[in-house]
Amino acid sequence: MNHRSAPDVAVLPVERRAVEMSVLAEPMALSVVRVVAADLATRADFDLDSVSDLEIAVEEACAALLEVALPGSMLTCSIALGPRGISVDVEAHTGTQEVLRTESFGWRVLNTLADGVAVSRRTAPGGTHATTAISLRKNLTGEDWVPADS
Amino acid sequence: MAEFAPSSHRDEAAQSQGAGDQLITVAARRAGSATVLTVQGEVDMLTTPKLRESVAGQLSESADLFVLDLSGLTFLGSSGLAVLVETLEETRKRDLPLRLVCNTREVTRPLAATGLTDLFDIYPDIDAALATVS
Repeated sequence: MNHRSAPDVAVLPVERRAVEMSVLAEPMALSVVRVVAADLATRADFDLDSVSDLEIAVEEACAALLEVALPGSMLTCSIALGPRGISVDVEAHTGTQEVLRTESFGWRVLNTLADGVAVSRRTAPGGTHATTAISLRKNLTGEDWVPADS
Repeated sequence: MAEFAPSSHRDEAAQSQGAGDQLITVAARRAGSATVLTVQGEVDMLTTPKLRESVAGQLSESADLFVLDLSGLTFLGSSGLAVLVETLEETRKRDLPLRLVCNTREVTRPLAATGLTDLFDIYPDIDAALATVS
């Protein structure tokens, strides 16, 4: 984009730049998640191609979770913006045996557009349900960043 | 339509919401022997079923050329990209040339980032798509 210094938000500690939101796990509710992620990335000086990639990746992560989310459950999303990139975690309650479809066209798109994708599942105490999470990361151009906890 | 329908069961989920119509408009017209389908708005998980249905409807009409005008899109997600690939496969089966009209980042970036650009015959505007005869 340009060579001016990044906006103020990019020099705050990561934890102060986190956004969390919770939406119904329904197609109607998903656009808000990708739009918020794209807006944050734009303000953090991501180039426009990266913002586009991120928006598509976030939608795909939400869509993949939606397929396996328990009826009536919520999709929780947290976004953290760091000096070198943005990370987006989405999770929903699913069945304990539920498996994300990772052979789909959409999953390939997600893996192509994000700089890192990880899936995790933890079973709730008592085994009534599980929480399935997808974490994705998009780096600022030129940054080869891997979060310490990944 | 095509066997390649990676998002079909998502379509059912989206359609059951009975919403999203206000986020996308799809209009078909004839231009000589060509069919032109103009899509405007956001092609995401919610609105993709409407696009898929419209394309299928238009493909059942006979034409010598199928033009998809995407220059008015503000978002093209993976479900929309899948419809484009399906449409390409379906038009090839019918020996029907397919041309895309797109000139904005909202469409060109998703196509390029997923390596799909070269699969398609892409024109910068509708006149060019209709004027050039292969």
